[in-house]
Formats: sequence, structure tokens, C-alpha cells
Amino acid sequence: MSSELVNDKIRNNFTLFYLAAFIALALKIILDAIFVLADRAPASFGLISSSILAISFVSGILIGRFGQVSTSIDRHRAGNAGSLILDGGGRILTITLVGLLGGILLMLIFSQSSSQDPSGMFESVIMNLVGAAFHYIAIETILFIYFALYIRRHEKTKKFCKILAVGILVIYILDLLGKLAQEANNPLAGISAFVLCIMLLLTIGRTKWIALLTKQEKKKLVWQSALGFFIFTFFSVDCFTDHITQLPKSIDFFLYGSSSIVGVAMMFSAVYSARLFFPALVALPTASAVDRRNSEVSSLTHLNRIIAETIDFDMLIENLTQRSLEVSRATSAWCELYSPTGERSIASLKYINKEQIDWLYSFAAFESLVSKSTGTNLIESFEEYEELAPLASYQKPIARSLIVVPLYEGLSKIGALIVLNTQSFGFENDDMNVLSSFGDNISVALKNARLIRESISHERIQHEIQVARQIQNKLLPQKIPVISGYDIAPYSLPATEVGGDYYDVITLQDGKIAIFMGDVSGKGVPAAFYMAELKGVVLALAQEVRGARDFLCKINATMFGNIEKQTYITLSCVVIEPDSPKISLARAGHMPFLVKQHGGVSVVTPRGLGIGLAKSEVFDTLLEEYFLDLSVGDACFLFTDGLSERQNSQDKDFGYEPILDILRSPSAESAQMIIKEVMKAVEYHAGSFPQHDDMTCLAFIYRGKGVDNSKRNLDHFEESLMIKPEYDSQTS
Amino acid sequence: MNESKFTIEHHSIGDIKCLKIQGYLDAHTAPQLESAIGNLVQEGKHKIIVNFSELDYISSAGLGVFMVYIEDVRELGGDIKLSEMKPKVFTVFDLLGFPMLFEIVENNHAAIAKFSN
Repeated sequence: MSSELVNDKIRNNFTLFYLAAFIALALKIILDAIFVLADRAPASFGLISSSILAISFVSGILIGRFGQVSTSIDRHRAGNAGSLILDGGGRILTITLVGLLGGILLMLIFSQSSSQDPSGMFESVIMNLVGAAFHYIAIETILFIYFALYIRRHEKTKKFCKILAVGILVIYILDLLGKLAQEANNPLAGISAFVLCIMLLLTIGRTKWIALLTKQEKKKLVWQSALGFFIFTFFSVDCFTDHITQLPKSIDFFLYGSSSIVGVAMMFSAVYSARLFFPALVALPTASAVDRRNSEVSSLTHLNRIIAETIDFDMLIENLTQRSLEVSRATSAWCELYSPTGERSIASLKYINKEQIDWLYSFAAFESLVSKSTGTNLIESFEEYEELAPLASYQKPIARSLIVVPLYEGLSKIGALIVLNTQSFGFENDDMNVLSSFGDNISVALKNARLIRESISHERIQHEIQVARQIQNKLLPQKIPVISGYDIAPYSLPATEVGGDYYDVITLQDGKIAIFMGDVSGKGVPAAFYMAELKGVVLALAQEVRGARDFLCKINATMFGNIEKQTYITLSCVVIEPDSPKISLARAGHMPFLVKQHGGVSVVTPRGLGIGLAKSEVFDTLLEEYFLDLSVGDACFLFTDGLSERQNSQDKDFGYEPILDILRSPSAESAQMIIKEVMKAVEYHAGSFPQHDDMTCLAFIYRGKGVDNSKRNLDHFEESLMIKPEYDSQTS
Repeated sequence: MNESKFTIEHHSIGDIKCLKIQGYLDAHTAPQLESAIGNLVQEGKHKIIVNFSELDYISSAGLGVFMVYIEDVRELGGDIKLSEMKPKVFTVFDLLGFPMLFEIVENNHAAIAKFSN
């Protein structure tokens, strides 16, 4: 915002200078008209005041324009000097040409007198206007050359610009002195001007920008500089010699002796034009080749930028096709991609339609040409190939020559870019080379695009798995019912992957409690789905089962045949009764129960198949149910293989033994305590070795009839569900 | 973690096909074995022995593979017999009740003998 303000301020100041200049011009015109009207030669004071007004006009315009040009130089970089000079030069040329023709015309019509001074008021006005106009043109040309030189911003250039300014002033003074002294020919001004021109020629050292112009621009530069040379030369000669046209007369009338200054400006322009003309002319024949190289470079740069930035695969292909068309001499192009099964799909097409492509592919020769091209392949003329000739034989063929660029990802060919030309020998070798480099680049891009797409989809899957896990966690009991006479604590530590671990504590119809511990085979989302199904089946059956064995048989009867053949569920069930020491256990292929009973510990493994492995007749026959009678303080521990098979860096399983030891020790006084001790032991065992499977376990202790553990349990429940125990950090 | 460490060797003993599996059989490698057995079944080979002598580890997903074709094979008068399991691998099968569903034998000879009965 502030910079805009500053610019506005500067622009306003320029406007003020212009305003002052035009007021001075108006005053001068009126003043001169009055003198002419009075029909007498102006007195010296009149001449001086008229000259002062003229100088004011020139200074106003000069300062205003100089300020504008300087600010615009600051805004431009030296890099695009070529087009700036070309545009500026064109403008100057137009102004000069219009001024010259207009001036000559006006002077021819209105000024018949051959004397220096105007013969009438009207003529004086015209002469002043023409004179002012040519001062303006001179200022413009000088400033343009200054601009063209200064854009380089070399110290040397700056110095020369100062010399140029001083030099012009010197020339003017010399010329003025000469004229005042009434000398017919004053060589000093001419010599100084000549010296300055030589300096100018030397200063315009760098014309490299000409090489960077496009062919069109170069052509423009050639005729512009040629025309400029003639016009400026003519005009400067006019100013310095015995005045071919009436124009210098007006210039001198406007400001005494200034025709030489304008002449110098014109001479500079002529020299500058000549200096540009020759390099431009020399660069012209190679222009189209340079253009081509430039467009190849810019296309490749552009394509590379797209490759770096684009994650949109389709846009990439679209761009590739478009650029290929621009950079080669093709009349149409398309890009096709191959699916892993080899099917062809058109990803992008230009100036050709699907029917035409299909038509081309209806020729077996074309088909095999494209499919067999392992590298970039140029067919210069279809007519030279017997099999392809029919394609080109039509009045308006789709193609008579083509380039095939196979696209690779790694070593596998994943597509092809095909560019066509309706003319035989429509392509040259460099078309093939540049398209070939396109092919190399695009292969990289295709790989990038695929990697990005995969990573996005991977991210989405990760998110979905996260959601699945959250839902799954909701399926595990959020609250364990309080059971009189028993102390129960569960624990679950999920691994990174979604798993199929399941545990539950369900109140049955007759007030008994069923405790489940299970695991769906496999991992991931399928396992999570079956676990959800299992939960539904368990809840649905809870109202009609009697006993652990019955429950498991009914679950198998419901689920067998409804889950995939390779999927099965292992499930343990313990049924307890509040305030009763009698428990029943059944095991459908799951890990054994670890039981502390009557002072000893044992691994209890009732026979039983996994759920979903066999139909009811087999399953029910094989399933055993154990009945245990617990004493106060006796405990039972259920777990999934994620716990017993937790490995350490030596590939050693955690096993059951450490758990049995904990059950045996007197410190195992509460269910929560057992869980804590077991988790501590497993952490100690595994160390930092990553956990691959969910670890789920549950412990319960018989406390004796009527012992209410609700208070004690509530303290622990929240922290025991899904939360890593706080001793984590201590054991590592 | 050990997905690359699973290989299957094919042998023929008359009309009996033997697959010797080695390494780790888990959720990642199970599809390999599943397609290997599937191919045999499609070729009409219904007498299959899977030799476990060099199998180090089996996961729940690995166990599931044997359930996929067992019914089909038995309906066609064949069987899948499991032989030479290491104790640790056998424990996994045993817990799940597989010995009640499959014939798990000490070695290939025993399996061949069972087939010829």
C-alpha cells in the first residue's frame, strides 16, 4: 500500500512539471504572437524572456519524463531488456515519424517565407508548436537511449550517461556561441557531437539480448532499426546542415540555437539504430532455430515444474499432450495409458477424437507399431511403409507421419504418447529428441503421481482403520457389572493394527454371569467385523443359555457357516454365580484358563474346537465343560495369545509360566493387582520390542459369600479399561 | 515381519502331493499357501500332505488356510494330512482342536500309509 502511495505522489509531481511546461509553452506562444502582431523584431529582453519560457517548457518535460523513465527502470529487470527496448523503440519511431511528416506538412502549408522569422502571427504559433513538438521528440529519443543503456546498470554506463548529458549541454553552448558570433559554419558543435557518437557506439557493447528475441521480434527489430537509421540520419543532417526542410527553422525559432541539440539527439538515435541493425540482421537466419530451442527449454522447464507440483495425474497427462503439440510440429496428439491387464484407455487427446483413434487402431500395422515401440519411434512417412500406406491414402488423412513415445514406470510400459502430422516428413529429428526427453520426464512424474495417490489412499485407509478401532473399542464392555462375592478386573492393550480380541462380562437370564475371552483369527478390519458379529450373537443368546458349554455350543451353531471358511473364533467362557464358589468353564479352541485353586495353580484346558471350524454335531460332541469349586482367595486368569505370545528381541514368547508365578505369589491379592503384576512382567520381558498383537486379559478372584467388592472395584475400573498402567515408564 | 521367510516346496509321491512349508505362516504368507493348495485341488489332486518339519511359526490366519479346502477335498475322496509338526506348532493346532478335525501324523511315510488304507 505504502509503495503505491509513493508512486502516486511521484506521478502527481510529474504531472505538476508537465503542467508548468505547458503553461510556459502557452505563455511563449502568446508572447511571440504579440511580438509578431506588433510587427517588429523582439527586443533583446523579449527574446530572453521568450527563450526562458522555452527552456522552462523543455526542462519541465525533461524532468517529468526523466522521473517517469527512472521509476520504470527501477521496476524492470535487466532480463527482459530486449522486449522493453523493442517496445520503446517502436514508440519513439512512431512519434518521430508522425512529428516529421506532420511538421513538414504544416511548415509547407503555413510558412512561405524563407527567412528565419515568421511572417505572421499564425505562422509564429505553428512554428512554436512544431518547435516544441520536436524538442519533445528529442527528449524522448535521448531518454530512450539513456533507458536502453541504463538498464544494464553498470558503473561505466552511469558514467557515460553523465558525460552524455554534459556533452549535449556543451554542444548547445558551443553552437549557441557560434550562432551568436554569426559564424556561418561552426565546426566545434559538429565535432563534439561526432565524438559523443563514437563514445555511444562503444558504450552499446552488450547486444546479447538480441539473440534472445523471438524470430518475430528480431524481424521487427531489423525493420525498426533500418527505418530508424534513415529517419534519424535524415533529420540530424537536416538540423546540422543548411536545413533541407523548414523544420529546423521552427526549432530555432522556438529556442534559439537548439536545432543542433535536437540534431545531436537524432544523430544518437541514428547511431543507436545502426548499432542494433547489424546484430539483428545477423541473428535473423538462425532465429527460428533459436526460437525452437527456447520453446523446448521453456516447455521442459514448464513440464518439470508441473511434474514437481502436480499431484493430479489427469492434469499431468493433459499438460503433457498439450506441450508435446506445442513443441513439435504435430497437428494432433493423444496420450494413452495401459491398465495392468493391458487394456488401452485414452487419457488425453488434442485435435483428434476417439473414433479417429479407434479407426487408426483398426489397422493391425498401426497397432503393432505402437505396441512394439520400446523407445521413441519416428515414422517419417506412412507412404514408405507398405502396411501403413493405406492410412495415408485418403484425401484428408489423420496422419501421414507420427512419433510414438512409450511411457515407462520403472521397467513396465504404462502408456504411450502419440503425436501425428498430416504431412509426410512432417517431423524432424529434433522433434523426436525433445519428445523423447518429455517421455523420460513424464515417467518420473507418473511415478510421483502414483506414489502420492497411493499415500493419500493409504492415509484414508489409516483413518478408516482408526474409526474401525474406535467402534471396536466401544464393543468391549465400558462398565463391568458388580458381582457380589467376586472381584473382577479386565485389561486390554491394543496393538497398532485393528485386531479381533474380545472380552465381555454378561449377565444371564438366571442372574449368573458369563465371562468371555476370545480372539477372531487373522487381523485387520475383517477380524474386527467378525468380532462385532460375535458380540451381537453373544448378546442375543444371553437370555436363553444355561451354562458355559451351552453358550459356546449355541454361538457355534449360530455362526458356523455364516463366516468365511478360513475364519474361526477362539472363545473361552466362564460362568459364575454371585456369592457362589461354583464356576463352570468351557473352551472353544482358546488359550487355557490359568487357575489358582486350593493353594496350587494349574493350566486348565477343557477340550473344544474353535468356533466356526465344525458343524454342531461335531463341535458339541467334542466340547467339554469343567466345574470347579473355588475357595476364598482362589483366582482365575483368562487371556489371548497376544499376551502369551508376546515376544522379546530374542524371539522368545512370554508364555504362561510368569503368570502362574504371579498367581502363586501372595501379592496377588486383588484382580487388579494380578493384572498389574502380569503387565509389569510382560513389559519387562518384551522391553522395547514392538507389540504386534492386541493383548487382552481378565482376572477374577472369589472373595467369599456376601463380600461386596463394588467399592474397591470402582476405584480401579476406569483406569483398567484400555488405559496403559501408570508403571509403564518405570519398566523398560 | 517375516513375510519373506516363507517358502513352499512341491513333491509328488504317486498321486499324492506333498507341500513342504518352511518359515513363518502368518496373515501375510497364508494366501501363498492357500493358493498353492487351491491349485492342487483345481488340478484334481485331492491327496495332499502338508509337511511342517521346517515351519517355525504359525498364526491364527495360517491355521485358517487348512479349513478352506478340507471339505471339498474330503467330498472328492481325498484328504489333507498334516505331518512332522514341531512341538510348538503342534500346541497351536492342539489348542484349537485341530487333531479332532485333521489327521496329524509323525512323518510323510505315516501319511502315505494312511492314504493307502
